[in-house]
Amino acid sequence: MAGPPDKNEPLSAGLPSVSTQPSKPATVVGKPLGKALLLVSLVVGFNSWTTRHLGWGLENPLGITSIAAGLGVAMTLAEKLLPKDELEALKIPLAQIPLAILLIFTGVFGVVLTIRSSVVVVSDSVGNEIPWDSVRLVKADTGEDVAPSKRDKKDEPLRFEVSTSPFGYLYRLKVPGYVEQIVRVYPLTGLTVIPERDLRVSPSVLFRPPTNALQELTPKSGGRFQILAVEGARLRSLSVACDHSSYLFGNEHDIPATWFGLWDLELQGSQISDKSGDASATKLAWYRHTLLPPARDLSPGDVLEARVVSGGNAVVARARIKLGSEALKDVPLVAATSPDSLPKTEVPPCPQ
Amino acid sequence: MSAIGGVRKLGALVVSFLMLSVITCAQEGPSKPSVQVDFRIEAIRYIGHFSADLTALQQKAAKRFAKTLADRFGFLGFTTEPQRTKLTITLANVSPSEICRLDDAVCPKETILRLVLEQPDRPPTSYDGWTYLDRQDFFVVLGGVDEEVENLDRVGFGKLNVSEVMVRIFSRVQLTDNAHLIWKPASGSGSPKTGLAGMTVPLQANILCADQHSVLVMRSEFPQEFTTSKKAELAVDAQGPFVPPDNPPDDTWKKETGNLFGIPSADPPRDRKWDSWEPLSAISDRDQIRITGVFMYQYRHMDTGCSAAILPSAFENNPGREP
Repeated sequence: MAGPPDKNEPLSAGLPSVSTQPSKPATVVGKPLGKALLLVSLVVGFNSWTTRHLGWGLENPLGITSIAAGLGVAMTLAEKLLPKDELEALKIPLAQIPLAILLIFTGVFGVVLTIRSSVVVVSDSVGNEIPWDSVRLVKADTGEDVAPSKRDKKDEPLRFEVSTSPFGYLYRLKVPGYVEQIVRVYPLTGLTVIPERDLRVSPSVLFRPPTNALQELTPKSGGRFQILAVEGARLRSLSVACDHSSYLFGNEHDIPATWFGLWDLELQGSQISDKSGDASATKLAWYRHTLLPPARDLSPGDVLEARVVSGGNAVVARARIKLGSEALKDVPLVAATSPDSLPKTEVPPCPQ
Repeated sequence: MSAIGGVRKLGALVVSFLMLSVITCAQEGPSKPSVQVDFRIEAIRYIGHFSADLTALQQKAAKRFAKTLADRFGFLGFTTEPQRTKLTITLANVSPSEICRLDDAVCPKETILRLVLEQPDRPPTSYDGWTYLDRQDFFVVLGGVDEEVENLDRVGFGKLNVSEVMVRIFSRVQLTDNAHLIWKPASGSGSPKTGLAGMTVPLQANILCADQHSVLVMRSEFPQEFTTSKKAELAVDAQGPFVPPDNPPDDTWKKETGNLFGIPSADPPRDRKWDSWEPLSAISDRDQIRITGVFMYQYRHMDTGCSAAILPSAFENNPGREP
C-alpha cells in the first residue's frame, strides 16, 4: 500500500506517466491531467451521444460512476495482491497516449456531433398503439426516405438516425392518424416527438345526408354514398358505402354533444316534424354514423366531395369541402334541386 | 315437300287475316270516346330517385292508369295512343308555403296526382284534389319502377274521389253530339198528343257500360217565344239498353235498339243547377229541338258485365211527360 506522496515528490508520481523531466514540473503534471480530463469528457460525451441518438450506451451517470468505482476497487485490490512489477505493467501509461490521437478522436467526434442526430417518436401511453410500421420520415428537400432503426421491444420508441447540420435540417414526419408535419432536427439535442402532444390530429369529416337522401340509402331504394377527392377538375372515387346513416370519413371520434342541438334546429328549419318520426329517425341515422377509414390520412387543404346517388343514378344530395385544421368537421349534404343523372358506370356498386 | 307445306301455311295465314278483317269490320260502329292518358312526374323525390328510369316509370304508369281508368270509368276508352282528347296525370308536389319550395326535396310536401284534361276547341280543365301522399308521408321509401307503378295504382286509386273527378273532369268529355228523343203517346187519353218518354244515346249501352243511377247531361237548344233559342242542360237518368216494344209507335225506335236509354231525371244531383225539362217537353214542333251534346255526369259501372238490358215493361212505369 503506497503512502501519501511526499510534498517534494512530483504530483505525477502516482499517475501512469513516465515523463520525469525536472525542469518543467508544471507541464509534466498538467499534460496527463488534461489528457485524462479530455479522455473522460470524450467517454462521457460519447456515451451520452450514443445513448441519445443511437439508443445504446450506459444509460445514466450512475452507471458510469458505478463502473469508475468498480475500476477503483479493482485497482486497489490489484495493488494489494499483485507484485509491483506486474502492477506497473498493468497501469495504462496515459502520458504515453499521444495528444494528437486524443485530439483527432475529439475532432472526429465533434464533427459527428454536428452532422448526425436523431428523431425519436414515442407514444404517450402504452394503450395508445401507433402503427409504427407506417411512421415515415423523409428529407424535406429531396424526399428521400429515412429508414427507422430496428425496434426490439413492442413499447420501444421509434428512432430515426438522421443527418443534420449545425443549423438544423428539415424533415417531413408522418405519423398515422396525424397531420404530416415539417420538423427541424438540430445536432446534439435531436428531436423527440410525442404525437399526441406535438402533432395535429388528422382531420375527419362527418358527412350527413339530408332526410330525403337517407331514404335513398335504404336497401330497398338502392342508393349509394360516395366520397371523391377533388383533384383540380378531376374527381377520384375514394369510398362507396350503402348504409342508412351518416358517414365519418377519417378517424373515429365522439360526436360532440353540442351538435345535436344544431341538428334539431336544422331539421326544424327544413320543417321536418316528428309527427311521423322523420326528425327522430334522421337524428338517429346521423348519430349512428358509419366509419369510413380513408386509404391515407386526410390533410388540411384536401378537397372532398360527398354525394348520395339514387337507385336511378341521380345525385340527390352533395357537399364539397376543403379540409382545415379542425379535427372533426360536421358537413351536411345539400339536397339537389334538379338532380343530375350520372352514367351508370360512374358510381361503383355497394361493397358486399 | 317443304315448299308445299310453306304454301299451305301462307294460305292459312291469308285466310286468318281475311277472317280477322271481316270480324273487325263487323264490330265497327259508333264507339265511345277515347282519351289519351299521359303520365308525368314532377314530384322532386321521384325525379331524384328514378332519374334514368323516369321515362320507363312514366310509360308504365300511363299504361297502368289507362287500364284502371277504363275499369273505373267504363263509359270512356282510355289508351296511351294519341287521341284528340288527352288526360295528363302528373305526380306533383303541392307547396304548403313560400319557404317550402317545390324543388326542395327536404321540406315535406303533399304529393298529388294532378289531372289536366285537354280537348280540341275547349280550354283545359284541371283537378288538384287527388292526394296521393300526405305531407307526413313525403319521405316514404321508394323502390323499383314496377313496385312504384303498383303503389301509384293501388294507393292512388284507393284515395280517388270518384264522384268529384267525374264532375270536375270526365263530365267534360262529350259522349256524343246528338241523341234521339223518344216520344210516346200519352197513355189513356186517346188524344194524338205524345209525351217525352226519354232519350237514347247513339251508343250501345254495353259499350258505355252505364248502369242505372248513372246520370247524363243532355245539352239542347230549342226555340222560345220572343227571343233566341234557349240552351238547356238537362239531367237524364240512365236506364240501360233500349229495348223497343214489338210494335213501336215510331219506326225509328228499332234503330235505337241496344243504345243507352235514359229518362228525364226526377231527382237530379244537387251539386249543380239543372234546367227544367218542362219547356222542352212543351215544344210542339219537335224538329226544332236540337241536341248539341251528351255527357256523363254521374257514373255507375254496370255490375252485370256491361250487358244488362231493361225489359219493355219498364216503359209502363214511365208514362212520359204530358206536354
